[in-house]
Amino acid sequence: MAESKDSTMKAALSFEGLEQAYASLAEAIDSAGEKNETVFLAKLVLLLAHENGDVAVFERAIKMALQDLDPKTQRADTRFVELS
Amino acid sequence: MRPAGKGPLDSLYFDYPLFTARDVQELNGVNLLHPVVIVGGGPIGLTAALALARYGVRSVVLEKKETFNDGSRAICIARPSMVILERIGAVAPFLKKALGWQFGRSYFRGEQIFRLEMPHPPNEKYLPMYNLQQQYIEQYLHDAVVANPLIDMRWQSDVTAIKNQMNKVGLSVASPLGDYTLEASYVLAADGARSPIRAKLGLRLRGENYEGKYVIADIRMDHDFPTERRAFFEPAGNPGGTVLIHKQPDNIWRIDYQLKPGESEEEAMREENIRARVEAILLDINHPGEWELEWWSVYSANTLCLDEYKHGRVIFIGDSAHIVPIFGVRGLNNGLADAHNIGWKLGLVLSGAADASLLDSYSPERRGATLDVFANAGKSTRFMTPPTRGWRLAREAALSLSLRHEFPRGLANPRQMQPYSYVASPLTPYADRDQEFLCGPGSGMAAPNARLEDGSWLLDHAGDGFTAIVFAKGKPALEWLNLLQRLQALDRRFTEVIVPSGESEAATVYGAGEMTVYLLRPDLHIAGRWKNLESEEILSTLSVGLGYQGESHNG
Repeated sequence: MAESKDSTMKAALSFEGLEQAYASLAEAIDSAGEKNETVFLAKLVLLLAHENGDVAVFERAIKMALQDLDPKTQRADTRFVELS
Repeated sequence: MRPAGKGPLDSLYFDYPLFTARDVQELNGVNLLHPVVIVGGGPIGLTAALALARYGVRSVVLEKKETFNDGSRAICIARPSMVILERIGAVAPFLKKALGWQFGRSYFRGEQIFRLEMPHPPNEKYLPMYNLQQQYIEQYLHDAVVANPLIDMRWQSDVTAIKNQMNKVGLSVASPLGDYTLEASYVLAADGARSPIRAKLGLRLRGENYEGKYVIADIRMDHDFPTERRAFFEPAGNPGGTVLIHKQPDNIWRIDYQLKPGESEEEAMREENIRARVEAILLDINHPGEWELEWWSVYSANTLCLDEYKHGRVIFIGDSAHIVPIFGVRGLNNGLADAHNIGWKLGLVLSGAADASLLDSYSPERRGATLDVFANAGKSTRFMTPPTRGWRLAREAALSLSLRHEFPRGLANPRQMQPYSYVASPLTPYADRDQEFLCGPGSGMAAPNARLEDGSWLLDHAGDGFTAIVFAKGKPALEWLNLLQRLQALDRRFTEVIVPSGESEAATVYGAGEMTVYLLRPDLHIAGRWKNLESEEILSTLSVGLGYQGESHNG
């Protein structure tokens, strides 16, 4: 089990908060509908980046989110993401 | 189902006894009113019969079948259920045979992402969980039932009609030796998820069905892995579906695997397909060796229950009252808690020690427990069988992040069953006294155990009636002795347990000081707790606990 040592990641959310976010996200994806879900998710990310106010944190989160995508379907040039 | 060429009772490890119908008094024209008839001889019905017998209350158990369950359905017995089995005098064979455990692991694409550790504090007598096949559970309970002269066990006895009357319930029974009618003051319907009694009374379960389907297959193999719960998300051995693996006694392993959305249940249930899927899963967990197929079945998650568990003199216990998702082991364990809850209440009422209105607390308490299970099981079920595209995507995101990050790993927690707290019950009238305590179990919760100085367990001293745990240095105050007399006058089974206050394990676990009093119900849930002796409140709590509606009763 790889341990995360994300010193720059703020542990801002309690587990209960995370559970709530998880459920809200799942329900919102369903509300958006399959055709709109990609745009919805992109909008959500931009909104959170704006709220967060730190572009470095945002860049880092993008890299982390690109890690460990399904190896069968991920583009070869993004398969190995290094965190600087 | 069993492999081709095998009968429904052809087990690799269990010899099914066959029980015949007995010639009973009703077939010979003797028709006495029975205090309790229990419909259904599964784990819940048998537990209820044993609980009633603690109070000297006789019961008749009617079981349609001629032997125990044809396969092992429920396999996990949680700690609170072990306490119940102990209280009804049946725990010894369970401890000898069952496999105790406290750990689990969750994997995503073959990598471990979550380590489950259920707390096992030194003050607890039993491990958090025990695995045992349902046939053994039924057999051990049946052995205790047969040894009990108060229980009249009738196999191959099918209830064909039921009628709720003003002061009794009438039942028609069909057996190979003849048909007869039977009358009872109360009927406990423990006749399972498809409850014929529920249908005959025109009652319906309400709630939700989840779409995801799981196959449960029991196999026998020599496989070197400790007794832990293993959950595999997106495993190579079952692409697109989750797999759960549990160890049972006799080298039997339970493999649960999720079917893909839209997959045909009929196809999936065919023996060659079961074998192929199990084979792939076993290769994935590094078991290339031999294995034998024992039994399989299919399952989908439901959260369904009755609006009310007591209908006149018919009371529903176990799966007849509620169907809960398997994830988190709540079906059997909640059923046992139902049986124990109604057992002590009906036991006290029918032995003249409590007012019949006490029975009205059964439905709110146990239905409350069911709704609590639904709330918790809903979370784990949405994780185990995501109901929509949104839930599937959110889960995939969480699992993918779990490979490198700690923060989402708790989402994969199976949220095993926790005993329900009766804090909101009318039988817990002074829950606001909890504010005076810094720690210890709150009102309504299951009482924790503790080792006493003489090496015995605290809860072994509790009686079949209400029990007061009194924390005192030396002899308790005179005021307590006066109160004790009044408590004993109200409840002739009343038990006092004096525990030294100060530096003892019990005082620490209970957050107790000098003359702290905990009042325990017969099911060892906390009816109330007082930092200082509050005689009138303690008396009033006992009174309410015996169905006397808060009035002080001169027994």
